[in-house]
Amino acid sequence: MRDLNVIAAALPGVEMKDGILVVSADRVPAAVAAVKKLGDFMLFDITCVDRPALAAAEGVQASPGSFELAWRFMDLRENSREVLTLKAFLDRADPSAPSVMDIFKSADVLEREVWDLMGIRFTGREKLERILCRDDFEGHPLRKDFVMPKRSRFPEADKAAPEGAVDGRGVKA
Amino acid sequence: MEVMKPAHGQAEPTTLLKKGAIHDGLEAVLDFCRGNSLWPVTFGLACCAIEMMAVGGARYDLSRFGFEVFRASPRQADLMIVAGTVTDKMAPLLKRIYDQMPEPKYVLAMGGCAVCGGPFADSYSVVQGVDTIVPVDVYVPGCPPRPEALLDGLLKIRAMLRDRKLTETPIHA
Amino acid sequence: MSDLKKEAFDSDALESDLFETQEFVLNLGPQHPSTHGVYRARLVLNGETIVSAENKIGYLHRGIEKIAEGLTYAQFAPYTTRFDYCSGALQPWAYALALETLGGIEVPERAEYLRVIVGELQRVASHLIMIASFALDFGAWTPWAYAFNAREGINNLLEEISGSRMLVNYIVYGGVNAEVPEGWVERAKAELDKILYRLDDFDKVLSGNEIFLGRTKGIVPVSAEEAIEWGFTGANLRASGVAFDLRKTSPYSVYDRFAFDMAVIKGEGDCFDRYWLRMMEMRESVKIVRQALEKLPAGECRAKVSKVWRPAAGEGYALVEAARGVQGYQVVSDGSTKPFRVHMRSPSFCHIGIIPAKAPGITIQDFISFMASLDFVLGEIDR
Repeated sequence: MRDLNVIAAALPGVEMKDGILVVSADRVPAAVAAVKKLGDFMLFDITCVDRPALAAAEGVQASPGSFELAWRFMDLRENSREVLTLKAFLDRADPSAPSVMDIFKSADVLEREVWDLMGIRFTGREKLERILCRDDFEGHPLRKDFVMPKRSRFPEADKAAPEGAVDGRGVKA
Repeated sequence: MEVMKPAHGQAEPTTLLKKGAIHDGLEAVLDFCRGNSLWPVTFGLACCAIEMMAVGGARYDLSRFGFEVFRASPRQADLMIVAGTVTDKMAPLLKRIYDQMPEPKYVLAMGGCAVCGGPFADSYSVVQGVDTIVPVDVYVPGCPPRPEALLDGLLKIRAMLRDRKLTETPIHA
Repeated sequence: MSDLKKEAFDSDALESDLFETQEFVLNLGPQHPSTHGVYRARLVLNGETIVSAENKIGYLHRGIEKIAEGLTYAQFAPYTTRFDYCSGALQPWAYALALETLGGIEVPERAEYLRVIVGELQRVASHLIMIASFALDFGAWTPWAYAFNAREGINNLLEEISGSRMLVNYIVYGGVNAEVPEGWVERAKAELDKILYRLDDFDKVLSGNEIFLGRTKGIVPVSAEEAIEWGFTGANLRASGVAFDLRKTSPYSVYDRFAFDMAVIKGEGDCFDRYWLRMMEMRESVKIVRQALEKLPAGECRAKVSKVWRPAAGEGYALVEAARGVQGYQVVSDGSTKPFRVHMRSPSFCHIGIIPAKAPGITIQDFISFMASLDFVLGEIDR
């Protein structure tokens, strides 16, 4: 991939911390537009990690109880297995980030997936709908505080389970 | 013929096969013929669908039994091979396709996911076995089951049609 | 009277008030012989022409990424094969690479060669499924039978090394799961000739066929700019003229030791190009496997790693050129035996993003061709 320091200098509002480009959420569209302007970059993934109590693993201080949202770009010119990553840390109380759908069209489905599974609200775009879970699903399943619904083929037997009994998944009755 | 409503939880086997309804000579002949031309509805959901397609291929050859005619429309089919994981989103559609099939109809649960939820049984969006939605005649376990196992399951349905006594106790492959 | 009759057959008259048409909504799928899985497209149609299309997916959403958080790293590996189930043996590779990045594990050379052999064989099998279903959507039954028969030969080889025909958990972190049995290398070499014979069969039956060409030539071209915009990778990207293949552009494993060409088509990027590119790629894969089988070195097949492995906290992100495009895995570790977060970057997920943009104005038949040529797999899209 092209020189990270050169790229970091070209993107507005982006800081380099331990080899990772960190940007605040509201400045993401400007940074992404600058990446596009560099040419031959493809936005191919938007990932999100829910880090409620994860220690600062990569030396990047995540504020306690935050979401780490990463936009990943592939360099189509050079060594593209090194991925250009832009990270933003979002507050747990109201996690939201601006959409980059009109800059890279691939962001449309990627943002909908992150909304569906993690509950990050992407602002400034039309129709942020669930894409994977069923439409009447409640909650955002990949969050760490999501309570897995207790499902069993034998609900009657479960009700009769004695105190402290544990089912096949290790869940207490 | 009464209309079967599968109970919530464990469903009963189909009325026709269980009770061996009007089993005079004509019905026996018709059942023999049905057993030689069970037409499945294309209901491949996931990985097991690829094995089901392989069974229809030249090596395992479903057509030597008369079963190779996969009908896209459920109204022209009499067998539903549920091949793959049934999710919450897909479940009502599966029931609808089953309802659209004319009697007599049979269901074969292919693969671990259709039998009991399989490796995804403790997921938040997977139905733990298709028999919680529709009555199942034959269960073929495996992940995915070998093509020979699926053929064995299909031939068990044929055997059940030829010999009513086989439907009275569960058959374990 | 005769003027009226003439107007009635004039195609322009369809736009006029003489024929009042009505738009209606049609659900294509999720149960459909041609959707290649449980994919649903909500189409608004005017006659046979599509006015608008919406992707409705999630019918195979099994929550595998959440399941990963409750299993150890080794226990999760077989689940990776269930994502893109048409190319099961290639799936664990990106996951293994992510873990190796996370843990700093070095893979022995023999294992790398075996990974390449198994990966490329699986790529051929996966493309055979694509060709088979692509042709089947147009009513061509014979190529389907040929493809599945050719695939059986590859399934035999995969079964010998792993026990499973399809969802092969052979590539694991540290190398490969087991040593190949005696005589496997010779059987694999013999199989390559059979595959090439079948590919020639396809060319005779399909590639010059008038009906097939009519259904695929000029249908829904995707330009290079559009392909990059929409996050296309893999065969779809190369068929649109962008010379980008991770095995060539930034080689991983031992791909830089083999002489093979990157298949690219600089044309319109229509359905035929996407089909033809996969045909070319299969031949290149056979070349790679032949060279790898010749040069297979002796050695260990797996680095020494513990089964219940506790990597240091951190994140590993790895990309591979999978059968359908560039597949990535993000594995975040919190220092325990179970992953904190596993995310799979699915190539097919981005491919379907273009469907609502390209669908308006084309007919349903062309929509079917387009979907089949994109070669997506719902297990990968829905995860």
